[in-house]
Amino acid sequence: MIRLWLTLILFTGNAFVFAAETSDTETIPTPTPWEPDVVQMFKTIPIQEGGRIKPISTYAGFLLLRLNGKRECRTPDGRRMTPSEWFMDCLLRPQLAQEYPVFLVDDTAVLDAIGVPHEGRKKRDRYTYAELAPARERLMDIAQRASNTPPQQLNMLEAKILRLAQNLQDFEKVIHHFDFARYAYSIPADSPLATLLPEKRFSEIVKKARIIAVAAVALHRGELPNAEPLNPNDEELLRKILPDSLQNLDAETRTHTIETLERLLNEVDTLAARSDALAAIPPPDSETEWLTPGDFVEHAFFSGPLPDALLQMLSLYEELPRAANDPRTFRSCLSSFAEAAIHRAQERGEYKKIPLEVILYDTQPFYYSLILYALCFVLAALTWISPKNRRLAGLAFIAPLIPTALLAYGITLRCIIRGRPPVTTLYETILFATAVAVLIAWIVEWIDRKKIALSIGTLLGAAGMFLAFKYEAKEGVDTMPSLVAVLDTNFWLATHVTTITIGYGAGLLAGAIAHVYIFAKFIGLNSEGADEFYESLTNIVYGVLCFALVFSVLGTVLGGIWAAESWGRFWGWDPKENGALLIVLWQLTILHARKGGYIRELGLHGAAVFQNVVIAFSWWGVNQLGVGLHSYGQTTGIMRALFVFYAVEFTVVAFAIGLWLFPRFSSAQPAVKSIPK
Amino acid sequence: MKKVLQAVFQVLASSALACVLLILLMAVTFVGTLEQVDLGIYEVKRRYFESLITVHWFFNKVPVPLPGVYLLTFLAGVNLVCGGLVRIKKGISQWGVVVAHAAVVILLVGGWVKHEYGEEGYMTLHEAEVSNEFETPLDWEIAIWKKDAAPITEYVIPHRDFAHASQDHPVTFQHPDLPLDIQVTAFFPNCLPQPAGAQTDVPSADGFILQPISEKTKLEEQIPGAVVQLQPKNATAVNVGLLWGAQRGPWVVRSNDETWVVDFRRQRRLLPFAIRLDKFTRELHPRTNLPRAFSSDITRIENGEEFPAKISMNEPLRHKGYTLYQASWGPQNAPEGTRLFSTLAVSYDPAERLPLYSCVVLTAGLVFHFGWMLYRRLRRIAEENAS
Repeated sequence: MIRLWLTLILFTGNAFVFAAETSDTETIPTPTPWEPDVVQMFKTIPIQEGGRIKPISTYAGFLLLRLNGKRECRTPDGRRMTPSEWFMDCLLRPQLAQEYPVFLVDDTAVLDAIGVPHEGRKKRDRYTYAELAPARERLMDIAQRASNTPPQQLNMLEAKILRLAQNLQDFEKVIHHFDFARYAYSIPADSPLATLLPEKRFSEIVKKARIIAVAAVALHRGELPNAEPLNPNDEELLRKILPDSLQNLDAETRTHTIETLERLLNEVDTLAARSDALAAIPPPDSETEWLTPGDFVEHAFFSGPLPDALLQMLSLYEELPRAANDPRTFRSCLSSFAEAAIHRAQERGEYKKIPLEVILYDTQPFYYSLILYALCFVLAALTWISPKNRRLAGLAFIAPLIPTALLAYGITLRCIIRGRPPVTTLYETILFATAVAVLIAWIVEWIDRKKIALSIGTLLGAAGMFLAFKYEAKEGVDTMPSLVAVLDTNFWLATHVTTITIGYGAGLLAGAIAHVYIFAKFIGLNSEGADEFYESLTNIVYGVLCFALVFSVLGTVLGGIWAAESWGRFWGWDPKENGALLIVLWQLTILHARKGGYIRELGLHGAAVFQNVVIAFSWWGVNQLGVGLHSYGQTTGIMRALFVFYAVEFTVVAFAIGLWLFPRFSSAQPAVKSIPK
Repeated sequence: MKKVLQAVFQVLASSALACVLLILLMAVTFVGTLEQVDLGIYEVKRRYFESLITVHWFFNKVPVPLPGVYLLTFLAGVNLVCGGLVRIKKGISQWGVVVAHAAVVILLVGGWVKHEYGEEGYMTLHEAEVSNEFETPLDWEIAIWKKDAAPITEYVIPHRDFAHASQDHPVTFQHPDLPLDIQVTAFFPNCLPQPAGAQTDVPSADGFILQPISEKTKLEEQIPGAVVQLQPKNATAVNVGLLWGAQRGPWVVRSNDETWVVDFRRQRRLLPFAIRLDKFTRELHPRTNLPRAFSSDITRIENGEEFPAKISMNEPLRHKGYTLYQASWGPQNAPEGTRLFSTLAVSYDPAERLPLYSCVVLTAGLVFHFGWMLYRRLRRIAEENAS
């Protein structure tokens, strides 16, 4: 009964139009940088988001990436900020954060559509929340209409507006998260509530929620509710609001107290709803969902009292924004809260991998591997210019192992953090396929020592890491998400998914090396040793193709067996299954055509380049169709990049066909050597 | 004659035929994949993947005849046996290829057995419900039985027997034990009941007609309907009724002082055992709507004995050639305390294990073959370096 009454009071209390803005009198904090050790302490605070426990820095990193297109931003005075520093400002000094240019708008048409002036700005530029806020209403209005349209039917402008609106809302959630702690709750000094809640703090209200609830219901009904009796202390506190006999309460006092209570509960309800951006407080042992400040309200008013330790944590949490302007106090508050949260998480066995994740994002192995692969490619290119320099050749041969080791390190850390095999998401397929392609290239180079595989391998490494980088930025969401039920099987992830990704990597390497052959033929490379060069390329492409075929076939059949385990059929002609089959069929076609003598060297290379189109369609293209059972692999918004890739590869294939039809265009002699069978 | 046979064999065993078949298979797979967006998986399967020959309309304008996957896989099987097993040179360098080809033959045989003898369907159970029936996903049936009879005897007309019925060619069904004839005067693969209005040229019942839906609908989303007449054998009075796939309950009709029930439902198949759903459990990842696990605690009931089991994602129940998988559940977004149902996919495939065996053989064959090639290549390089 008390629950019903409270629901009525709490959630129908529209008598007061409540705008929980932070107080106007609040001072604007000075934009001093956070101290490094404080930032480090903040980073490791565990939160629950997306179904898993992660460091708060991971959440901050992806949010900034989503908004800003990169994992850093600058203050108006040009100071560079890490995601954690920026996020601390968003949470704790929101007035400052609203002035940081973090909203990347890559087309001024978006600004024209929502009415934000942009004179003198670049077409692709970053804007502050303060600049966009005046157009908020119009932005949300257009976004609301766009959200009713299926994603495939949205035009480019609508999609961008929708994304900007979502980014704005995500940002607002963060800057308003601590409103519950900053807000000055309206409890008049002459109200009986003032004696019950002398500090007027959120944690105090939550702590005394049961007394407030009983008082609210009693005042409404004119009698004490038939609920579990309060303990003597609470009973005494209740009497501060209610006289011994409710009948003796004069009407005016009663109305006034009810109004005060309703206003207070309304404020608490609104601020609790605003605080759901972060679940940073571990729950009681029996529960799995971490708590937001709003959950405390739900628990306290509707489910019963919470343990004192948790209330204490809420109190510490609440202190953070209050102490933000005083570095000394803030360090102490943050330390107390972080210590308590980490201790609770450790007790629950949920903290072990948090430091590892912080290290993963701090060390940025994937970013550095991108840079190093690019340098290795330059080094490999130098060996072509100076072929007799043995030291340079040796260095170029060894160098790619460093970025590959970094890549392997990153992948391994991710495996440990997730307790999963290396490939579980589309993002991870890029990392793994890149590592596979580079490793195969390196092994081929080790055998062949012609510098071809090395050059192409490092180039592919840089391209793969660049793709991973762009994909991560485009999606802007955690790349280690919780897995849907059907993927919750390490055996099939380790076998089918890994195998098929090895097939992608190897196939793409073969296709990439084939480009060199066609290009060399096109420019008419016919110097001394050219025949050996061409033969070597053919041997490599053929060998790598065979390797790719083994893994593509095996991966496809294993996928069928997994489908039989999960969905009851070996083969269902699902788009993703068909994509894998297309790769296998094309690789088999190449090998059979070569065996039958229908294609020779040039044909093999042209077919290997076309194979890249087939792999791209299977890997990314089918995801664009938006149908099928592999919904967890679906992604949108990459159609244009995909078509550019198709167009480039078709052009190369067209060149190969042209060279075959009109060999005289190439000054190189047609290769006559047979290739190994 | 021998020469002709030899020539035919050479063609059937040729790499050229293999290449042509592989490319055609790619083409059909590719267009079949794209067409799923508009046609849905079932129609695409019927049109491209379970046919001998099909016509694909490029840009909905240019008709291009294409061989269906059935024809292609049959020819590929012949090509594989002739070229990859019989004609191929036998030697250590080709052993792996022969083994790999044999594995693909096993895979194709498995696919054929599944198609010929396999069954697929769904069984939906609420908690505490028991059933030994499952429904096929696309086919329908008309079932009729006498109400209040004990025991109830159902007379069932399968989909294929009335699917071609029309006003001009009605189909009548009789049974010696049934005192009435059932005539299906029209069948619509996709329709909607509508008030008859001024339309008098179409069969109607109680002022309603079945209006065919002409716009493109995916096969799995189509709701069929039929117009049925019940004609007692010893009387002239005729009852006309509309049967529609999404109707709430069966058609109950009085005929010759007897009450008959006519149901239009998805075709049912019997399991050689019964299943009781004891409890359905779903788990979400904390603070998300992302499913972490689904599972059905069931009891298999056979010959009066009960065998408890759990069916969850990636952990099906296998018994007597049937496999029951966790497919779906509902009602979605139901408040706490709602009686949930679990949908289990039922599959009968006598060749269920063949893909696994094939996979093992295939891997062995490919690894051996390409391993052998790599070994030869490395040896050659070593020899070159030595010289």
